[in-house]
Amino acid sequence: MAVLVFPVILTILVSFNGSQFIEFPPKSFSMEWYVNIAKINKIGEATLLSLLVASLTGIFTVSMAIPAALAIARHAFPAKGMIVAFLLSPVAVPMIAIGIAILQFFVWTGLPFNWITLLVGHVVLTSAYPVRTIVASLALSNPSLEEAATSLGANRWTVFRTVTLPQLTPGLISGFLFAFLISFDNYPISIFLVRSGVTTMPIEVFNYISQQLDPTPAAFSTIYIVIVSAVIILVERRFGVISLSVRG
Amino acid sequence: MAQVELEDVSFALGTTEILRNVSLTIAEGECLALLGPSGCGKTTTLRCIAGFVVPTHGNVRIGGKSVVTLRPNQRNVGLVFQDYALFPHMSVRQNIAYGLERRKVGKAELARRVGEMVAITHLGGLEERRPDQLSGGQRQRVALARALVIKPDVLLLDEPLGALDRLLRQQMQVELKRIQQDLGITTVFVTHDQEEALSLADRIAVMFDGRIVETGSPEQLYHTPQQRGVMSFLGTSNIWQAKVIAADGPYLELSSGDIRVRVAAKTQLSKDATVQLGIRPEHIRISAEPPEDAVNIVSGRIETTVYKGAHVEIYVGTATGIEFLARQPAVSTESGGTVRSGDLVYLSFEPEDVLLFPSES
Repeated sequence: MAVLVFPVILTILVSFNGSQFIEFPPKSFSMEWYVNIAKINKIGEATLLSLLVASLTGIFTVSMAIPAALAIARHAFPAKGMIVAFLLSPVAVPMIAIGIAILQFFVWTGLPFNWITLLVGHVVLTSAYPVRTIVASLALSNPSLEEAATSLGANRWTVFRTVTLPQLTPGLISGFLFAFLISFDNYPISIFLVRSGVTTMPIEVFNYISQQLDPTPAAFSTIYIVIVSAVIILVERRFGVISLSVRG
Repeated sequence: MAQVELEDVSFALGTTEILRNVSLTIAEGECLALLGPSGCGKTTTLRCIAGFVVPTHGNVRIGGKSVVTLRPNQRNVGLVFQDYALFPHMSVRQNIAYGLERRKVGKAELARRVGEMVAITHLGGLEERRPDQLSGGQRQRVALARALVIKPDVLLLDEPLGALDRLLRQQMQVELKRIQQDLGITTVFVTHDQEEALSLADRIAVMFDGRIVETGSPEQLYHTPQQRGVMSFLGTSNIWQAKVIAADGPYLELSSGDIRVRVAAKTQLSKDATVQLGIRPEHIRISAEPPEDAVNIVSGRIETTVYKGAHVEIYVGTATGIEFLARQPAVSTESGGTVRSGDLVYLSFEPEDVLLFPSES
């Protein structure tokens, strides 16, 4: 727990430090670095693009994951073990390797590099997570619910809409969150896929760090940590999704 | 409400035969129990009627019409699951209304019918609760209300009281019977609990190994089962093997070791034929002295006594090695002095109370 929390506390403390350099413990208090965030190159534009790509990544991966998860959880089919392992493989393969593979793929196809390239890369990277969380949701839901709905006169589509989908909600939300967050702060894959004119938040923050050593990125990270924590706490309260991904 | 018929229904999964030539007619308004040990095919039979299992052979008719080609949502069947399968994201009211919404019932009519069902199942005041805010008994009643509100042709219950504790189970048994009789709905329920079958059903079909082996009223099956297996599955019983030594008019004389028994001869049996004899524990009297007027007397020593509240179960071992179970009202042991393990006692019973089954190889 201390190991997990320490860097976060350090980041927050450093962001309020009055000094030019990252030092600990902080010697004075200042909000200067929060004002300075605006000076990170293209930070507004890059964050907006990151938000767009992350949202679309979440939506695409979750939509693709629903049928896959239903098939895995509810049906037996040939070579199921292999297919499941294959679907979950992006979790196990190093991101750099995936980045290089996707880069080679786009070079080979000759497609132009733009934000859609980035989106495709992120979808490949994150596709495994929603499958996992939705399968976990399905494993917790009772299959006789669907039979109950059927015997009460519901056709397949109505059963899916009124019974299956509401059972999946925690899995959909946590799957979306996983995909969104992984995409939003991804560096190793994005670095291969961005070209001039297209840039994302993590890339610009890393660029800034490589040129300056002041605590501006810490200030930016603090805002990021606060927003993400708030979202996770809200969603966990409402759906209990974090515990779901642990169970899955 | 309708008559339900299963005609020569068989069902196999791969090479495993789960149902073998099941034929059964359930009359309009009748309450039938499918009773048997787990894995005997009783739930599969129920699912055949509901439409979740399509028979590999045979026909299923509801109200005279064949339904084998209809999907479960096209059959008008009310199904109550063992775990109730209430929709956890819906309130009690929404759960009950689900089937009516699928039938596009108008708002006013829907509210009226849900209200009526809530009253019948005593769920008043709980309409806005979610299933996880209900007790086991309340959930059971919601499941029942949800199945009944659609006015099904037949009500199907899978181990309806299996998930409830003992006291609640007895209350719900009475409740279920009242609702079933008030509505006069054709009902089929599956149970492995013989007590539940005896107290709820108008008629019981006993299933072993994918077949219906015997059907009859609870009284018939309890008092005059035609098969040894049915006798031992329904209630407690003493069953032992004996050989016919003489046929004496309306009686047969049989022996097993030094135990000699006189039995009412209901079937013709030749001398030396081997049969199984059965007697219910409550038909055995137990006394410290040999009773003078009894026809059948067996002596033995008490091995164990088990106190059951209203009665005492006494296990008596005989010299031939056959163990008898006798059930006596608890008061009689009180007045007749204490029975202790090792005491010599005499068991006596009427020839008419002994059941005779042709021996199974």
